[in-house]
Amino acid sequence: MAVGISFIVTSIAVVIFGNSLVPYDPTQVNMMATFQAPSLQHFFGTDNLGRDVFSRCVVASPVDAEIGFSIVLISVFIGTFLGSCSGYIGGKVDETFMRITDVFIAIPTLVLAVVVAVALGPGIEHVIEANLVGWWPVYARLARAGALSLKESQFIESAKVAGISRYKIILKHIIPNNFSPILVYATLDIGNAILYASVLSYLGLGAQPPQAEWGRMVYDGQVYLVNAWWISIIPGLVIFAVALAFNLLGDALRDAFDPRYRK
Amino acid sequence: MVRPRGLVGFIARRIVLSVGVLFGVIFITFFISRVAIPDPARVWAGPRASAAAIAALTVRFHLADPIFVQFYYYLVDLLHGDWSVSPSSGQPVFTSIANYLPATVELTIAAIILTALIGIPLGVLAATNKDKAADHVCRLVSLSGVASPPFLAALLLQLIFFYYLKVFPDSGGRISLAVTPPPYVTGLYTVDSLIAGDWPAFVSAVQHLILPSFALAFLILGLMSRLVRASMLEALTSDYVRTLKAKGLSRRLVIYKHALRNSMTQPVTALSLYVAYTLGGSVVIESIFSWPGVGRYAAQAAQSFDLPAVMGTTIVFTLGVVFANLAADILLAVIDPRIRLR
Repeated sequence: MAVGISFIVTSIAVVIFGNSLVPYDPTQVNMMATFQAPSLQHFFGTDNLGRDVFSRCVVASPVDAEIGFSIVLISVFIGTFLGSCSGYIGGKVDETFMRITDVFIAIPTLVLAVVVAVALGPGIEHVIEANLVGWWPVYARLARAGALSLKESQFIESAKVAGISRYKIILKHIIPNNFSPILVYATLDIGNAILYASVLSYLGLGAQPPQAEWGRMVYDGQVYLVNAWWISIIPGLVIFAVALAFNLLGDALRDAFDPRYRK
Repeated sequence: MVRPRGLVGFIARRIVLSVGVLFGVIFITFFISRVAIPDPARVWAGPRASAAAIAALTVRFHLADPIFVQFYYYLVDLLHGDWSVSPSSGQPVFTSIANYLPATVELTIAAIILTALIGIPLGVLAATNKDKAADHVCRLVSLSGVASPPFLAALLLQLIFFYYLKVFPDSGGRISLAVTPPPYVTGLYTVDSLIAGDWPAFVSAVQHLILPSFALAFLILGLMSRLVRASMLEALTSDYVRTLKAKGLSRRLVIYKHALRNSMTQPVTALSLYVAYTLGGSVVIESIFSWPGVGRYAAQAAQSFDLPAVMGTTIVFTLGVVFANLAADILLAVIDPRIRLR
């Protein structure tokens, strides 16, 4: 837990202040210093154009962070609202909604994201939109499950008797009480979102060169894998580290919220 | 109307559901390719198409007609195997995918077998050593798998085993260039070479299969071992296990014969999830290992912004997930009679 938090705090700091902290200009091409192995001067080495890999990684972090957070945040909003409504209202509406989410969940998320991204064209906003399509159903399911279990509880009954409108009940009572499992999952999910965003960029669908983006850097550096592994592997390790940190954080959150694990 | 009961009824209901899901997917792909983008004909014709080519496409796919007409022809075309031509390769999408499909099937099956071979023991180990060193190691391994971008594992494996250790000969592909592939029976080189009794081909095919399937398995290992661990923990603390232990049954028998079998429901249910992640991961991993499968086809298509090809891939992959779902449901219904009553 501590590892995850400290790593994420550092990452956030990097994201916010990164651009002013980089030792080298990430776009600076320097043909005299190409393919340098990691050293004290270039922590992550230099790439085929002599650009400092460390600086590029740092500069790329806001891009991926923005994509990851946007995907999860928007999915949480859309999914939670739709799922809670569906679960609370029940009946045919719920049935239909479940079938619809079934369809989305049946499509492998990555493939769906690729299709939408190809249809929409290159660019970061399209990466976010593309992933959103496959992301929201999971939160809808989660919210629905919570709504179903909350539906029968006493305080909801009394709210209904008091004459509070359906949507007010959903907004003010059901959703806030369902908060923690969704929060836990969302935290875990940010790491996932960053993973998927990087894969889309790896395939050339997201950030376009010369913009620095971790997935894209892995792709560009692949050709040089044998002689200059750091160009490709290190951005990959960065993605891994970030995803791992969010996973650890999410796991710790889940353990903290789960009464079974309390000491 | 009487709801058919029993195993047959269960399967029938599941099939009906699956068809519904498929229809939904087809509708979604239709929506994405025709409705959501402003000028489909231009996109399909490719960036350098002439006005005549675009007009021809418009006529052929009824793009000027109302949506319902378009959807009707879309369905008809789909069922006839006319999935249009990929602008980047110039080949019909359906034929290309059909050609590449066996390779991906082989890879997916190998990956899932590997996942089960490694993931189940890992989960059992973690459950029987809860909170001890082995549990933490297993947790670390599964976390790494889940948090790994697919290209990282693949590239690292290639680097270490191909270039540094030189363990596997040849680079990329399904079989060594010096070896002739076996005659086509199933399309799976490993199976076909065994059928033909061609030992060198079999060895070569397996050698090429190991790294990519391991890279894929690594991604879903964590999921399976965590499910096994959770189910095992529940089983191990249940009443019937306590009874068995009280009766004096050896620890080994209790774990492997009873607890394990009863904790298989959750991991089997997740089969469609494994297949979904494997197919998604294959897009990247097939590209890196030059594995001539549908995943690599999709990756190349994506890079060229080739919409028809990517859409065809989506439909095929979803079909795969739906089949896996069906298979898992049927398997479960056979194993666990309680499920048939749902």
